[in-house]
Amino acid sequence: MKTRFLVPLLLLLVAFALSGSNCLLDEKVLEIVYFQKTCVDFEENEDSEVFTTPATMDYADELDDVLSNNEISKSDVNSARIVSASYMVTDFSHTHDWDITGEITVRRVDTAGAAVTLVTYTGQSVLAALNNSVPAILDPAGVELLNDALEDYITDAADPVIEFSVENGNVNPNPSVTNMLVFDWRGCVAIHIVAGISLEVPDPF
Amino acid sequence: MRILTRLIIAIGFATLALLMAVPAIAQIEDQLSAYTGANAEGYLQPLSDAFGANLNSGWYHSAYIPVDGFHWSFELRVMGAIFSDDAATFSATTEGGFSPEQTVDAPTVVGSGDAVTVDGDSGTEFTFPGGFDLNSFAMAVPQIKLGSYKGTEAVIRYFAIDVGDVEIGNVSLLGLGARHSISQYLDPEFPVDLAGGFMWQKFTLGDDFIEANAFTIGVQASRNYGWIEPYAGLSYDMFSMSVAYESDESGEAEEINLDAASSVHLCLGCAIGIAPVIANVEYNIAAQSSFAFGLAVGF
Repeated sequence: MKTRFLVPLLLLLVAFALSGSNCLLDEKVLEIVYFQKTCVDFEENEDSEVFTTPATMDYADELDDVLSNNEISKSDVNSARIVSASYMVTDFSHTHDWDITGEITVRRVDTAGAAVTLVTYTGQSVLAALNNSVPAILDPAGVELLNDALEDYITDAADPVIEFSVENGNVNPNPSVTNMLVFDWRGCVAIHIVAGISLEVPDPF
Repeated sequence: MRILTRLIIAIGFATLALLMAVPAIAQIEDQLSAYTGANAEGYLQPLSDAFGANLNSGWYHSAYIPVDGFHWSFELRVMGAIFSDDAATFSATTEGGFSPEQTVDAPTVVGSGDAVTVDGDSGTEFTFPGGFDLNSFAMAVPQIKLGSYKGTEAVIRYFAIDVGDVEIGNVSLLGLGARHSISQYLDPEFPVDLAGGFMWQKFTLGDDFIEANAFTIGVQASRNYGWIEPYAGLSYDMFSMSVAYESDESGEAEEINLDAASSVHLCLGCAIGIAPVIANVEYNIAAQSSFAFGLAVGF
């Protein structure tokens, strides 16, 4: 009686264990999302309310680093899209506040494209943005340019290089040589990179 | 020697089962990194429920406990929870500064592998990660029973291993419990054996990635018909789990404490065999129902 039960039970367990990859593990394909922020820094030292401050970013290098850090290849990426943008003043030490109005434009350097508006800011208090991430109001033209750049990167159509440029139009009060507008700020764009991966997971029942 | 061989096979099986789960658990950390706060909790909750149900199952297969004399039993327990359709999605809200804020049904950790994307202002998109498309969550643990002293036996579950994965590190499970024979105080003609007991367990993964605590207390009844012994148990279960991970958005460590779950738990099972080898199967009706089966070798 004992042997009758013992032998089949042990055989069942051993077979279950040894054939684990077939019996216990199941291959699943899942889409994983990587949230990535790419940021550019601008240093302002202005004596006029109208000024331009460009900063260039090699988007392909940035994205290469993201994929490398997460151990995925470009062929695993299904899509990459802009989620949001924000800006923040990182250094400001004036005795009074300033309100600034303007836009941040983007331009494809690698394709020598035209600049389009990505972000507009109106009456933004510099002091209020000090160490405080402000959600940016996005312009469809700039988002489309960045989404296209991401698509070009994924499909190997190009290695996008993007120029971000502050195009300021108005400052209150008006800066001058004796009352310079001096602050540093950072603009960030958030991206979702969606990758498909295959993974064997235990799902025996 | 034959018993030693059986023990090695059983330990090997438990090791294999735990190790196979590790790559998936490591991937959960990546999936979570896209989320913060409430989204992360909603994403993980079904796995937490199943984990708690599994840990609080399968720790007995009989209410009979000898009053005195040295008795031991080495046991391998396999516990599994089947996920309902309701567990596949949760109510997720966009984050990361996405505008306008939207709430949609997104996959949980056990839901569809397909991500869900919503459109926002000015051509932006927000994507909720997919799940692992799981039907069930199962785990195997070894346990030892030692007794008896005045109708009391100890139950010990222990497992610790360094999986060699720098991101995960160590996996360990420690469970300590005791059961006491109620039958010894009753008329010997009482139709069933009765026992009461409790068990506490702590599971950790990595230095601080996952920490789970389970506690169950209850009574059991069984009746031996020779080679077959039906049994039942009624218990009160408690379970809590915390998960620490790094958020992609903030770049900072996030810690979520999943809802501590308490539930009444009814177990119905049957053991088959004659010492030294007994197999059992049971179904557990609780907030998250589960089943278990196992093999015990001992005297």
